[in-house]
Amino acid sequence: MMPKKDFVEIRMHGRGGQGAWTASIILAQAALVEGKYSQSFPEFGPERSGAPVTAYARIGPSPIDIHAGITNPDYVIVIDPTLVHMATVGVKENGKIIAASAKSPEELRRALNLSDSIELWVVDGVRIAIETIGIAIANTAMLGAFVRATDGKVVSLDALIKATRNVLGPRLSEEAVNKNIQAIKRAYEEVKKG
Amino acid sequence: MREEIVEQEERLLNGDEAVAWAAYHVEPDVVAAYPITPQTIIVERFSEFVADGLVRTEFVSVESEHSAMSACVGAAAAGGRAFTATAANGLQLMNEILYIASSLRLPIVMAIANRAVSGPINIHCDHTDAMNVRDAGWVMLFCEDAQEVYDTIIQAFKIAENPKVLLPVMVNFDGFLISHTAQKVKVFKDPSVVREKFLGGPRKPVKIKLMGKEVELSLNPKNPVPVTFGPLDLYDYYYEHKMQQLVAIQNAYDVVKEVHEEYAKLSGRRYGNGVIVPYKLDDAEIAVVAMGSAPGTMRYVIDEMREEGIKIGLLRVRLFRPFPYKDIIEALRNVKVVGVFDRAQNQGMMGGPLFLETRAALYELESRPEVVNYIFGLGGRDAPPEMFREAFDELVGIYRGTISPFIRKYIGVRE
Repeated sequence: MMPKKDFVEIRMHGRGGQGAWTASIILAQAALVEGKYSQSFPEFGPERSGAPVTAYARIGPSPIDIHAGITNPDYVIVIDPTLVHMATVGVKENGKIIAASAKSPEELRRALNLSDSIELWVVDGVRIAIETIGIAIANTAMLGAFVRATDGKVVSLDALIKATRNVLGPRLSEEAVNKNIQAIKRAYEEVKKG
Repeated sequence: MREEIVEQEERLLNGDEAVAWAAYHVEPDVVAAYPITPQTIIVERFSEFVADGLVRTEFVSVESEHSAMSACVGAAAAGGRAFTATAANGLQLMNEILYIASSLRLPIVMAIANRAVSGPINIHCDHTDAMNVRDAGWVMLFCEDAQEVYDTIIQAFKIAENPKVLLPVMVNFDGFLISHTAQKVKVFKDPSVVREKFLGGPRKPVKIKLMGKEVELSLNPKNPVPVTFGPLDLYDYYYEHKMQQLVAIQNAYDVVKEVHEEYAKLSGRRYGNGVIVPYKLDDAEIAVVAMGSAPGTMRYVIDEMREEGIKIGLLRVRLFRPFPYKDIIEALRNVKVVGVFDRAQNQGMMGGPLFLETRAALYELESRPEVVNYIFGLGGRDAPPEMFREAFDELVGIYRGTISPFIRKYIGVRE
């Protein structure tokens, strides 16, 4: 079979313990729910609680045979607001950054000195996580924001919710899973482009 | 022959999880293992399957890899189906017992998440660990992705237990790049497809005639005449036993192909002819040769160059021991330039192990291509398409006569 470069590449920034790798697994699972192909991998190395970590995903309509790192992602998702300065590294022209931040999109765009060709979507994912789940972990909320920012074209909101149930179901109580889904929906609604 | 593809389900699994699922579906009698990155997830997941009662496997937590392989030797000598997994330094610690497993003709299966060997200490992918044990008498297969890992672990048991082989089999896949990368993997819905239909139920040790009686070649206390494994074997018989082992590993060549084909009829999946996987080689003037996950990345580069009208193709070597030199000679018979890519060290050697054997095989040809070596990706150094493109362009230069051939080059490294 001829490999096609018809996939998108996603990078996620979080801190050890905030579920960046889990978020990339949920995204990859959502792709499966939709009958697409995907890869999900962590920053290859030892995991350290609290230290900045990155996780990656590739999603596309055909089998993905590339086995190399992602250096120029189409989309960057920032789970921890204190890591937002890392978002711009290598991001593609016409790429998108989806960031958790209490700042307004305009403020954040200025702070990052972002080029006009890069779309910025901002939502206070941490606040949403605290209000819905009760802990300051915005990994699932930011996936909701991602789906909105990509207009459901990478994965749909429906697929994301199903995948969240698949991945978190065996690990958390049903109540905790439902709260994560609430977080996804709220971030989907509240995320702003700027 | 008609194919009856059995019902399968799609799961998101990384390479390690794919191994654990394959082992779950095989249900070995004994799994003995010691954790080491990047193999750890295999044993973690498998121990969950044991704890959940999905398998009746005797799971033995041991204190070292030397003990893990020793426990597998004991289990396999007792007639059981034994499985373990390791990587890097763990594999080096097993070295002594690897030779014992193969010489005792024990069909143990082992998964290796290929990792650089210390030092300096490094947990990432290269093939140096496997290359250090390439002469230990094990059948060695290299997989490209997590799907192939699942499929190959299952095939490995059937290859190992074939009476013409009776040798241990090592299934290699790239640490982190495959071991920790989740992808869509199809697994059989019903484990009995693997256990009963494909493997034919529990392992059945071969029967031999001993002192006029038929006995099982195992440490089975029910044997009418006891069997000994591993006695002293000096200059009177050692060489004859080594000759039997040499015949067995050559026999494995046909068996790997047969088992691959038989499995394909159940799963619908094939990897070339089971020993090599050619890609766009039919009319190729230039060929690249590699193992592990890099060929996946290389195919994108091959396609890009094909679109530019460059006749380049790829040969992925799936079976490394026994080395499929006849297939390699046939596959590369008409090419003019060959670039062999080794993801392994070659300290003091002329080139990487895959290069040396490929080049030696091609010596058989009357009209030989230029064969050059690239060493890449040591200690997990990223191997992106751009790096391969640069090397492939160099091969085009050699083909066109604008670049002089060389023996070996190290790419993706700072000087």
